[in-house]
Amino acid sequence: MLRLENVSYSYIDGGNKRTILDNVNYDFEKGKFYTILGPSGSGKTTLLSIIAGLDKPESGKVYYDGEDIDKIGLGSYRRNKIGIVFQQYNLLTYLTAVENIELAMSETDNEIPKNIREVAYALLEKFGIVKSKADRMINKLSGGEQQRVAIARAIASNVDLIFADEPTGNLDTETEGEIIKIFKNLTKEFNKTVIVVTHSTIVSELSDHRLYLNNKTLNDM
Amino acid sequence: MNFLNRAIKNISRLKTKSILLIFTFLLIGNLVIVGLGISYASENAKTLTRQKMKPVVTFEVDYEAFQDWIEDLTPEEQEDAWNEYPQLTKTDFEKIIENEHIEIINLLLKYEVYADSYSPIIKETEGDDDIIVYREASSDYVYVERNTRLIGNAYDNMIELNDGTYVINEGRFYTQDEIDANAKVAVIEERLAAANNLKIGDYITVDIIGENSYESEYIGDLDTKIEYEIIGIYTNNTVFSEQDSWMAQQPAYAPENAILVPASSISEKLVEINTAAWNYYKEMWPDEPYYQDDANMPTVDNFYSNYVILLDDPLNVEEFVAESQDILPRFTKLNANDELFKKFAKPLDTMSLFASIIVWIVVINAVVIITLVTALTMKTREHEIGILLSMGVSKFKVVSQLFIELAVVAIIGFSLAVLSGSLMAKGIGQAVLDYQLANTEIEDDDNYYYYDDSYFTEITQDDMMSEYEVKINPLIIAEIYVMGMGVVLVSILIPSYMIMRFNPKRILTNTY
Repeated sequence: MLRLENVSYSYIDGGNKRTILDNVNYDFEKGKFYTILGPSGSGKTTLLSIIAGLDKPESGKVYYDGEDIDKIGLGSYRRNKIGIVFQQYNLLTYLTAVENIELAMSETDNEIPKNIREVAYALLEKFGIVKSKADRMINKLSGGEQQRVAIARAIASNVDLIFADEPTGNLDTETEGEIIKIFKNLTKEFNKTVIVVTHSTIVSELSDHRLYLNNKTLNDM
Repeated sequence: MNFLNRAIKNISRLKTKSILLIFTFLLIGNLVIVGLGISYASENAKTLTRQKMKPVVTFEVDYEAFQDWIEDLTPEEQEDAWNEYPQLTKTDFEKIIENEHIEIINLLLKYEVYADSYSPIIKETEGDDDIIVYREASSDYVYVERNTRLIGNAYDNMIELNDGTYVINEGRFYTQDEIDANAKVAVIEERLAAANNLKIGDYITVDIIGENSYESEYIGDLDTKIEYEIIGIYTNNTVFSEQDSWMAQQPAYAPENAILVPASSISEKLVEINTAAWNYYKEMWPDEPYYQDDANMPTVDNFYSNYVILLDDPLNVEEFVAESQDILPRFTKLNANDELFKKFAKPLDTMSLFASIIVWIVVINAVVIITLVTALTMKTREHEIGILLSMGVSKFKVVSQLFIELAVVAIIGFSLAVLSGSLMAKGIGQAVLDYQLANTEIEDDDNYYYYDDSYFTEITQDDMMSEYEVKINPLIIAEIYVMGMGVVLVSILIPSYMIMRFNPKRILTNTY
């Protein structure tokens, strides 16, 4: 479903070129739950940014269903092919929870039911956000609730590929468990592909594939 | 949840920010409205005053320019320079009048003569005789005062007929063919006609020299009389100013004794008589260089007294004068009574200039202030921009949302400014005008215009100032909205570009 081909990335640090990724190759399959682990500064977030189309590799290609994401257009790729869940949730604070979901649904070019508001409520309810909470402003929700909204937003645009960057980093252990169940469920119930960058062994143990990024390359554990 | 909805929700839910921005736009809007209001009112007062003025332009010798030129020469050069004293000619005038905006032309030849076959109207005043005769004590010369005025135009209409000073009651005015053929036709005043029982088709005779003995010396056997056929009878509504009222008592200047004739009918005889005089003096003073140079012989151009053009619209006067500058002969000018107009308009011009400067300063400052405010606001929203871009929202939609947010608060601010600014503009505009008038000295116009030489509409500064009214018209409102939207667009585009030139990852991680 998603293929990395000789992806390399480096940046200039204090006048010296620092390579983060060096000819990374990998094939992600549809409907699987992947976790990417690795030490701090190993380039996990950078790798996620590249495969999510938030940044460009120095060299190499990323293919989605066999098509170069550059050719799809990074904006179109992010809008129509993927959903991203961030550690900081990254929801719009002047909108309510349900409006954040509507935002993703109204921006995508994918086929979305016409009754957007009802669908958004239903989606949030699936993730444990009832209507009364769905109508609250984002900053009136707890961290766990915000992250559920963020996950709901990621799949709201009817995409098959979900990326998450340390999605449980700001959550307590109980909530972390709930969020992981949600991700796990996304692959089973919705047949989504989920790729999560994490430090958490709890999260990685529940994934189908555990990948390790070290020494600039990505390998199965 | 499209960008329009997001913009509206942002405005309505972040009230403090929106109110502060509305207040900023309100302040800016008020200043611009006051500036534009004063500027428009000043220009409008000038335009309305100009529209009230008769669109008249006169072709004149530019005495000041000639005088300035003379003063810069050496004394020797100055003697010769006087030979170059400018002479207005019909040929030069004809080049100027080739213009689509010209309505009527008065190229006038006015000459005082003697009634010969009829009696002029003489107003009886105490102690005056009908005919005033001067005898010089030291000689036998006799001068008899003239009692009739021939007014001849070189064109077949007159400004006076257009403005109602002259009204044809019977018959007609002379035609261009009659002018070109030196036809001896005349339009006489109704009171003169009634007093002499004259009617259309009758003939009257005038004498150019009369019984003046000193003139008869060089005339010899020349026939100095002209017989005119009456083709029309008119009413002369000339009203003399108090200053000129004495003239009405002079038979030659009395409106009743003014006879309208083709200029060519007089000029032909005048050239003939003056050429006889020229030859007489040439013979008498053989050492006088002026009379020995045939270039100085009398021509018809010596006798035209007024070169006046009536244009179709007062607002075309300035353009006409400007366009004609290149074809004006040296030391001549077109006078549109601009000096007086400009003098009266000076306080308005000063206000208009300052108001325009204020508007520009405010607009430039507004761009800077709003851009800075927006940039600061954007700094707090760069994370939001990063989120939207990471979701694949296009840059155009992001900019559109930001533009709409600012545009809506700007429109609210400007709308409030239109209400408050119109009140402020009236008060401030009047206060500034009063201050300007109190501090602007208007010099008295020393030029005294001989009554019938002035075709200009008399205006006063009060006339002009009475037209000054600061009001916020739809054009100003449209201008402030257009200007405001321009400011909003610029202030959104600059910070947006500064942020959105980076990729979403760098915006979200604030690493640019």
